[in-house]
Amino acid sequence: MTAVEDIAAWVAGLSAANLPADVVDLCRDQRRSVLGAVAA
Amino acid sequence: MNAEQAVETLDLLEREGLVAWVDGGWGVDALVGTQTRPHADLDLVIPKGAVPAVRSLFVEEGFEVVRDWLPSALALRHPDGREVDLHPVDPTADGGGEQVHRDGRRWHYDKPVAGSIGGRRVLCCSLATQIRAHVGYEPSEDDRADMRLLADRFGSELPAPYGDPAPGSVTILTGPPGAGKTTVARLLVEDLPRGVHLDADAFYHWIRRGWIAPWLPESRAQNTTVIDVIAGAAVGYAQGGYDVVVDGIVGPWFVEPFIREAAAGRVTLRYVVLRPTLDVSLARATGRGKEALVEEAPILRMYDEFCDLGSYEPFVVDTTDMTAEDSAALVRARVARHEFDLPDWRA
Repeated sequence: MTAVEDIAAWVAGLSAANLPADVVDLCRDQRRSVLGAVAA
Repeated sequence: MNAEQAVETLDLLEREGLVAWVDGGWGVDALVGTQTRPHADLDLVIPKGAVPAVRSLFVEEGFEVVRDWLPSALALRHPDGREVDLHPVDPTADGGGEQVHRDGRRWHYDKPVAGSIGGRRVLCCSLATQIRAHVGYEPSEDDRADMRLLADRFGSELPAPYGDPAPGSVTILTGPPGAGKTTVARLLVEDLPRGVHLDADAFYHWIRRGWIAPWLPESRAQNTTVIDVIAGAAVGYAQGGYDVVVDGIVGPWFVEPFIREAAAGRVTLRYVVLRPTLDVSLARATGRGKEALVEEAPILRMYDEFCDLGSYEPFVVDTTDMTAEDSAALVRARVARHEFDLPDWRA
């Protein structure tokens, strides 16, 4: 496996619980922003 | 997916700013405002642009994708058994939306209407959308129950294959000349509380100008017209509650108009071929009065056309050694066992 494949496999295995809380919050804000734009 | 879970799912989406429309079985129950049967999943119509965000939201809630049929559908299931089936649409100017099927066809959702699940107000697919969504495939028992529910609640007329059958029926009683069609038809009709003996020959005789002997090759267009008219008349009587026996030369090549009319009119259709041996057929046919067709050549040709009926062979009754009464009794018995039923429009 190359280093890039290693990193990709690691990222693919992540869940929200593995991420820093502020990153998760930013993701949720981004999601709400998308849904808000769709609903508008 | 129970009502509480369905409401929780809708609440989850609304907290994120998205109001989904309820489709499928829950959509039917939302329209009538009460749960009438269990539902395996919750079908939701959402804007196409919201799919990645909604997918992310459900995955964060613990759902997993179990069926990715995008762009037409995306199904997700939670380990606790909850399942949602997302139907993405492109919003349209009428307030509805268009779903793109996997084969490229587009399906239009009308503007959603108000409904309720567990007392909570929801947006759900309209009655017209639900009815349109239920045609064009073999319905399940749930589909039939849902359509009956909508018809009962809203008084809507249901399309085939959901509507009630017409009270009457059409039995095509055919065979070569001399097979005994007219006598047996008369006996069959005598037994019925509301019976019509439709003499197909009469429909030919009513053509006063331009008539062509129907056994001649050049009569094809005329015969097609006449058969269409007979089929329409027979189904019309059946829709009025009569059991109709069509007595005439209606080979398998002319059955299609009857199948079409019967399907449109939701009428039970049967096909019976009386076929004695050639000797018997010829003797009976040529022994009639001057009004009848007594020439051997056309009789032989028509007999030949009924000789090998392919997939219609099971509809044949050999009347060689039978009296008309016996033939009628046998036909009645086999009708009761549905042995003469043609492809059922309700299937």
